[in-house]
Amino acid sequence: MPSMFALETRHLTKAFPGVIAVNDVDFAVRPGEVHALLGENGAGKSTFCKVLSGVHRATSGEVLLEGKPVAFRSPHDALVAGLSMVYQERNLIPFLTGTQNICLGKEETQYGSLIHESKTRRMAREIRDRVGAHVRLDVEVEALRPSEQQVIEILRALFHRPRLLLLDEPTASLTHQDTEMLYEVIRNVISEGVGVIFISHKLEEVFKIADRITIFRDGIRVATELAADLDRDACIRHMTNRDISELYPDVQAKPTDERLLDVENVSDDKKLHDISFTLSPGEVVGFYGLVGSGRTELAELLFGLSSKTSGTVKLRGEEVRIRNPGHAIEQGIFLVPEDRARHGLFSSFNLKENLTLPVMSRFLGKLGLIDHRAEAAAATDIADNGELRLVYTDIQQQIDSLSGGNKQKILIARWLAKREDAAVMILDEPTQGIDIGVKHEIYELLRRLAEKHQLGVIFISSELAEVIGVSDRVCIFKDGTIVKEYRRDEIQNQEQVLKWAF
Amino acid sequence: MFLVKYGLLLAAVLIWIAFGILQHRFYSPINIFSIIRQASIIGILGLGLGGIVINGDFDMSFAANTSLVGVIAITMMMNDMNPVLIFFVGLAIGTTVGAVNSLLVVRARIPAFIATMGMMIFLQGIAKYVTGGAEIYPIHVPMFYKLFGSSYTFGVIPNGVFTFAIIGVAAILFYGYSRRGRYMYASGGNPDAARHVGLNVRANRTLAFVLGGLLSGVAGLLLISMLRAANPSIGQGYLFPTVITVFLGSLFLKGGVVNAPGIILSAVFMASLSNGFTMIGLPFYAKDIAQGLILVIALLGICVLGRKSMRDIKL
Repeated sequence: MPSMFALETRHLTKAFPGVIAVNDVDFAVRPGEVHALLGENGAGKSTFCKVLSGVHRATSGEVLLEGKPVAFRSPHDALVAGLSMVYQERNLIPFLTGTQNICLGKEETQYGSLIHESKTRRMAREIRDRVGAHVRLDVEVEALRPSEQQVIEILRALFHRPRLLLLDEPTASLTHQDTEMLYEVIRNVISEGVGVIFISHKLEEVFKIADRITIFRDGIRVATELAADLDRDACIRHMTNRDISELYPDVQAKPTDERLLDVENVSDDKKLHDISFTLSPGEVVGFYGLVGSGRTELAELLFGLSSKTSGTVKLRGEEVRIRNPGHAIEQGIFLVPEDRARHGLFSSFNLKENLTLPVMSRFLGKLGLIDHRAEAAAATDIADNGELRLVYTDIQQQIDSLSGGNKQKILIARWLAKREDAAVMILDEPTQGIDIGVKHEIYELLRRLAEKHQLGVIFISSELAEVIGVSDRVCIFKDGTIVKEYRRDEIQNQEQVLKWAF
Repeated sequence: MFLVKYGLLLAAVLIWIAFGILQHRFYSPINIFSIIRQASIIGILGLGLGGIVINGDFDMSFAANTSLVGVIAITMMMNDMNPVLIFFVGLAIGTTVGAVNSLLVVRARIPAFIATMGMMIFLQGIAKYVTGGAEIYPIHVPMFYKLFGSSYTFGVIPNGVFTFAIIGVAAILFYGYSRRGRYMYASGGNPDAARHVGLNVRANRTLAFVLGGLLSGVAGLLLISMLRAANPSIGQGYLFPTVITVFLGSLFLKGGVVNAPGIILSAVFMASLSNGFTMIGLPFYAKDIAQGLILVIALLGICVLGRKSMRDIKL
């Protein structure tokens, strides 16, 4: 009798020196279901998937694919056996077409080794039509939108007719509409009896697509329930052992008439047009909108990374023309960028050097040379700063070994070291991809920066609940401009805000 | 990791012991200073190129720049021009070439490898034009240049060593202990992130090209002071040894990050190797084979033993 599970694990354990990342996990995916994995970063879900897909080998326990015990030595073994994984970062070759990417290494050939173009194209088209994806296969993938690229990735994973498909945060960089299209594809995939494991940090999405949900905490499977039997609060409780009411800080808005930043009718030559808003000291203003709606572009403009073509920006009532980031920093405008690895961190620098870069002048000794001991002391101060505590073992450690939350803290702590010079602090998606514990710390920090230190804080996020939970006012972006602004007390529900953003 | 970090020093000590056993004259003061003298040119050029590599760029033209400065200085000597004027003209040419490279690479955004290769070929052509392609030498070398590059202090210390020592100390302080040096590592390591913390990445890259050009000028003047003659390709032979020195030196202490002490040590190592091979009478091709092997083994060390990949170095 064939197994009733596409995939099953029994007492699966993966131990690394000093830590048990996956602890005695029993888990099963039925054919034709979407099974979501939830958990904070470091809860063990990605290690779990890496064991399933053959990247890591289990310390003990077993994995059964359609009832048969398997022990994959590599992701390729898993692929051939019927388990495909789509990773969070895209792995497409940009200048090849969709067909060429999907069939890469598996092309139909003729006359010995020449590629049989038409046959190969037919193969790719067949896979596409089977799952009802609307994506062009004959253009270079770099010309496709992110969601279309993501679909190409999935089509490629489907090439081997897997019995189980593993999707790691497939929607991380997609807009709302694009996500819908991806769901359509996933629904068609499961209708063929394929089991899908779906990892995501976005709870709303999980509820939309998942049939069942398994929640990990500290390497242990703490719950597996039908999605219909769980709600947001219950998930967060399972993930954190904490109630949702504790997630957002108390907001005590003290509106002032004093103006820190006045942005009037600002446009640039690319995306932004006619943007106006104000920011007072002691206030958190949330920027909400879809990816690409102009939030990040405005932040970059205020930070001097791009320039405006018309309109004015006034800081404390005086017009400023911000030429470059160095100039913005002099004026007290700081930005914590969205893309931490690309725009924030120096992987060739250790923790100390990453922290001290903006404040080098503080520990120059004789002849203007760096006093390395004073630098280490300064870095330790920054890292142990009462506002935001970094978790690290050695101030000289490599930053690759730090968690996502700690990396985010480096970028914020770096600016906190210059807090006396700060006027406006802009944080672009500061909570993206980090666990709820650290999110909570960041929310509290945002409020403290505003209320206690009287900075103006701009908080950019795609997660509506947190924007509403933390901000005094919310500016809603759409198509390159602010279409609506709400005070905190004017917002009754999320729908009221959402309808402006779409 | 220890092996990667101190491997170069270990290798240097090993060859010093081996050459010393095989040929006792290897340890005579004259020979030791002769090694350091040989190391000077590669070392000075390497310290200039190192800064450019730290910023994530590359320069193919530094050796041709050295040749051009050399032939122009010798030509000026042949016309009995003022030695101090010659000196400053030499430095000015070197620096100007560096500045033009920075315009091509940093401002016009031509890939560094291609732009500076064009510059290299152009400079070689100019050097050939200046000399008519021949070896040239002045009848009378000014005292200034004898003191600078070819006399000995206390009878054993070649004066060229002093220039190397001064530049070496300055480079260690600049790259390892100055704010600008740190900013250069940041600019090369992640230019986008460097911009986001308010650094002027273009200014850092430009400065590295200009300093590199200046050091090519110094190396050119030092080289002709040692040789008392010049030809259009006197610098060219230093191109690959210098590139090897910079990358080999990046192993020392920092396991793959270009640094000044590493460059200095590896310049001395390369000179010792070449000197020792000659002293123990190995055939002429042995040096090339050894140098090539050492570079590849060193890179293997970085990529296999060390955790670091070489992706921070763009060529």
